[in-house]
Amino acid sequence: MSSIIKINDLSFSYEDKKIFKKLNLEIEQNRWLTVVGANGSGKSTLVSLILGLKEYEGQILVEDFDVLKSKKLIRKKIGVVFDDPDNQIIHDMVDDELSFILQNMGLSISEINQKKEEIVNALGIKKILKLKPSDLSGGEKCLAVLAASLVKNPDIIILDEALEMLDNLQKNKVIKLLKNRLKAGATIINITQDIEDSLIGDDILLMDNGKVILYDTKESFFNHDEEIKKYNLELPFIVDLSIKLEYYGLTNKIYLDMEELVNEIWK
Amino acid sequence: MEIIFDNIKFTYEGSNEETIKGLSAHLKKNSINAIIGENGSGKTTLIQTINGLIIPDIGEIRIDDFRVKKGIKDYKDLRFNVGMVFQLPEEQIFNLTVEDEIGYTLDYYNYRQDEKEKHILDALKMVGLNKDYLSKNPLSLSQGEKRKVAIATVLAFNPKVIIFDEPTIGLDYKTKENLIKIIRLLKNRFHKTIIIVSHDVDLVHKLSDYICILSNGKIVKSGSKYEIFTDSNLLKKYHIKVPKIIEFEKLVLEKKKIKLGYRDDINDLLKDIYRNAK
Repeated sequence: MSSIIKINDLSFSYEDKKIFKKLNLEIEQNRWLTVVGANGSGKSTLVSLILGLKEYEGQILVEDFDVLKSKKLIRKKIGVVFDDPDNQIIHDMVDDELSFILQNMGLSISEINQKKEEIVNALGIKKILKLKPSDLSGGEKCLAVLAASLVKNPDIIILDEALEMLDNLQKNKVIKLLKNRLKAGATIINITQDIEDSLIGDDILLMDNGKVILYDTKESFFNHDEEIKKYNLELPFIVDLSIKLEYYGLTNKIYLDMEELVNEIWK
Repeated sequence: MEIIFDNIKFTYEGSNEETIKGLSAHLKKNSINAIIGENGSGKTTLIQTINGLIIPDIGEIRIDDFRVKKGIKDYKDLRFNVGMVFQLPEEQIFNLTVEDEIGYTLDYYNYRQDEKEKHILDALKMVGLNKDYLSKNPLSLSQGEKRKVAIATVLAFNPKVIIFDEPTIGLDYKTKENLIKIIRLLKNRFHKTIIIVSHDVDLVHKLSDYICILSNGKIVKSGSKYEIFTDSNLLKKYHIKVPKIIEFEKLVLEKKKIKLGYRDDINDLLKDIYRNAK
């Protein structure tokens, strides 16, 4: 499998605090990666460096393009939703924001309308199109930024604690849309504090204090449960239950699927 | 403090649709009350009426002897009793140091200097931040730390009612568990009335005593967490996720015809499973 993001010897300090010291990491293409870790572990900083928003030492390549030398191109390739959606919409209306992005891609009016309609229907946001960002609720703002990020059809979609603002219905719609993008070849990077969401994707990466502690498929990741515990990471309900049941001798491995676990307990 | 919403209606300026549509409800004192519902259902608007940040066009809110309604302009005493932790910490942080941020409200309510310092340090300690944070700029902190500062700001002036709007978004496990402990302590030891707005049903299920479901500007159902979370049709109708522990209990009943007890703690569930699987 090939890597879509390559990070070589990355070092970065914020004010007097060293965030990364010679970090090396390769993120695989066309996978759904969940990034977890405590507040302040460097997750959001890493996103801003991948986008070229801050200068750093070392090298970050996105699809083999050097980020600091091709910032404009990188921002076309990556769609991102940050955890403070307030600062991400610049137009007075959600509708204008979407049109602006599509116009910048040089599309015709009919193409613009078609692409807009697709994203609006997929996210169910017709109601908020003509509203000002300041009149939107927290979850609605998040959907507006998601629409603006996804409408340009980026190769890489990065969500920085963005799904947490959504209710169950909306979240499921967004996950469905992201899974379709994944099937079509996109790479998804979901940074989250909701550990249950790590079971949606393919791989999990645990960061702590600017270092990558574990990066594995979700099936293998939770086998390192002793190590995970050291980093104060919550376990998904089903994993936690499997591990506890192992002590009682009722299971002998970690389950990620609830029905499989129930069938194992009551064989 | 007991909170009663009496047939309130509210429309945002410029909007042609009511956000709150003739809503009546009763939140219980010395309890953890949760308000859940879809994005845009009016949750944040509703809680902002409790301390008079939003005044209903029609109807009133009664908080013990306080009233929030049209015609009343001064809510200073009410706000001393009702503290609010906003959804995005940026919405409430505006001082340049953590010390000034937490001390701001204390100055407003004329606390003595020595009292003020004690309250600031106690509040910081409660959210798990040390003295070194006092001189830091709150906006330079990580999202989780900002939220802790926002919570400390409210704890510092010791209100009787504390409202948390989506309190756990962006918090890591340790911080979240710490916050859960703080909220339980506030209720059990300090007899506060707590109101939580959250999408995190596992949190609401674990923590709250009493739940209101808000949909399209109205409270459509309220009851104990048992009443709410065991009603599958209700949860389905209002698109509320089933807490994981209940999803498991339901699956066991459906697939194995075994009825486990209703639990809100995984260790209690474990004992049930062990008893039934032997």
